[in-house]
Amino acid sequence: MSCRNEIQTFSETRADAQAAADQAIAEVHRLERLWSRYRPDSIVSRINEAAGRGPVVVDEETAGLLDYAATAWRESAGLFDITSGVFRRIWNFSSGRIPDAEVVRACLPLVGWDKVVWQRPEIHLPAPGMEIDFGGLGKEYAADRAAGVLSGLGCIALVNLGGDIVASAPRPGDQPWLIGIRNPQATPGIFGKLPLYSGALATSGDYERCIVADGRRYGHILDPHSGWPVPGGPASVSVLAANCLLAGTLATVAMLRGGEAKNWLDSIEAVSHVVWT
Amino acid sequence: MAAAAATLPLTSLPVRAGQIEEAKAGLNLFSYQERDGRIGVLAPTAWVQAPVARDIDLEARMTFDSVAGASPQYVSNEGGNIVHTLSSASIREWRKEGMLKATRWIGDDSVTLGADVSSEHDYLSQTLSADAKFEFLNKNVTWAVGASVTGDAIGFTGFPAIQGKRTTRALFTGITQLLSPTDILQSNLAYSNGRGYFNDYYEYTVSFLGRRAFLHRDQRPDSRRSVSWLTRWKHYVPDLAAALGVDYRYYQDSWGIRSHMAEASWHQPLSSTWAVRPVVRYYTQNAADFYATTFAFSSGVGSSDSRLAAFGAVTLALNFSARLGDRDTLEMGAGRYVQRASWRSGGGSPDLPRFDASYAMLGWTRSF
Repeated sequence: MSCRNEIQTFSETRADAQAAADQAIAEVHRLERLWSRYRPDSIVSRINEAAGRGPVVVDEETAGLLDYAATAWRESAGLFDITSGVFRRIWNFSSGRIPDAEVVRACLPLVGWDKVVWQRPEIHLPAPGMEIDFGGLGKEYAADRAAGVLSGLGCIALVNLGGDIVASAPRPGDQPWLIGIRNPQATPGIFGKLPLYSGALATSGDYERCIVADGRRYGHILDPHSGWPVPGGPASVSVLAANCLLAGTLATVAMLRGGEAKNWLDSIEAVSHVVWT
Repeated sequence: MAAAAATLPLTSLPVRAGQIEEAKAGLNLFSYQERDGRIGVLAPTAWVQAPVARDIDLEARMTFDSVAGASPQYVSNEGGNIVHTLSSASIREWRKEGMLKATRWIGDDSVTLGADVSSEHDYLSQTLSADAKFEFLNKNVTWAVGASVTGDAIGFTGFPAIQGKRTTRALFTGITQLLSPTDILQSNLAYSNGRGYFNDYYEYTVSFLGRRAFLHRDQRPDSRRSVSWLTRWKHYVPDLAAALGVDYRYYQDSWGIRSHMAEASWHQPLSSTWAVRPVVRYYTQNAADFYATTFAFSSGVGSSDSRLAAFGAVTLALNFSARLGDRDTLEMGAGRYVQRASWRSGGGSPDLPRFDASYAMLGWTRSF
């Protein structure tokens, strides 16, 4: 996890708060070890290693997240797709160059959840070179789990994993947590403060990693059907929902719907606030 | 998708948030009325608070007071009793005040610079201030420290014409600490040192002693040093969603005045929109060393200003606040201040007339 993470918690004593925070942090590390694609011993790496060879048996927790990913894929008409990480090999956002259309087309046969054989508890990626990753799911799930650990220990807490935020309850005195919402147009600065009493906030945005070429902006959120960024969408969207996993999925799918994003989010009941920039 | 998320071992939280706030602005109306047709003040104020750059907040405030009515002019013992007489001329005064503050955030700490100017036709006051706040122990403890300097210029065109100047330097330091999820304690210590003109030009005392009469103009020392210590405790009661506030302040100065102030308030939400906050305050002070109602001399330090006498006072106030929509807050309140010499434990200044005043306030705040 290469982003800035923070836990703020209130408890009866400082020692209690520290102990609770330690447990929450331990939970986040546990999930990172389990699902990080950068760790060769994680379940995600083992699944990807076995692509084109055979099925891999997964644990209950991973199975639950794969079921969720499958549902998200179905309900977003294929926009939310955990196999689309393959495009990362050809889109190099730090180079500032857009790939050739040929190269992008060559990747398409390796992308698509419909190609994955998922029969709980076994998952099989049939073609070598296919891969899954829990980006867009893992961090959000970890934020929810960390908040659950803290409130289970009787703490009021705010968990912030690189911008994925969960507030289990308001600050003492029914005071809201003030969340700074960034303005992508300006250099990093506070756009405004969102008073959050409880709930989860996840942000999906193009402003941090993108390529600007020939006057057009190519965001890093890629449409799994085409391999290209979706045109006409907002620069970023933040969604408030009952948990971070849901908020994150909705934010990502909204971004992928481009110009349709606002209408789509407005139609979803699970969402109560949306921030557009 | 919401249903799918619900099958996972994750908590589903109630979603509750306010609107994004970038700036706030507000209008306030304050009204103050002393009994018996004495001073009445009406003070509208407009203020705005906004982040103007990365890590910089600005706050600006303007107030226009209008003061009308009769003010105390002289104290006389003619006829054997001490009588406080109001000026026969009714005054109508305007006062303008402007304040500007800039705060620079450095992480969770901040530094604020402020300037304040207040002007009436015969009185100009200018203040420069600087203060800093530091957060410790993961924002459980805040330490604040500040300093200010005020220059006052008083010019009376009456007879004799007077030009008075006064400079006051002040320092303060304070700690705010979260004691528990339901308790917060704040304690502030302030020191002030003023030098210059302190007299109330418009007041004088007429003393008939035996066959002689003395006219003594209000004259006070040319310096005033004071120390005050304020402690506040807020206790949140989760079962009632209410908060108890208890404040105590001790004040002492080089004029011999010592005062105690104790206040209790109870903030009670009535619904998701309304909250009520009753307040009761008790104040007691002893008299300044040079306070008297008769003087056997015409010149020298002495004052009959009843604000320097010994007395006790009780204030009762009721405040209401309402959240209108996501962006607007309305506040209104009214209070009554009653002052009696006899209400000071240990007794107050003899012959001090009773003093009553009421105030009311209406305020509207909008977030952007």
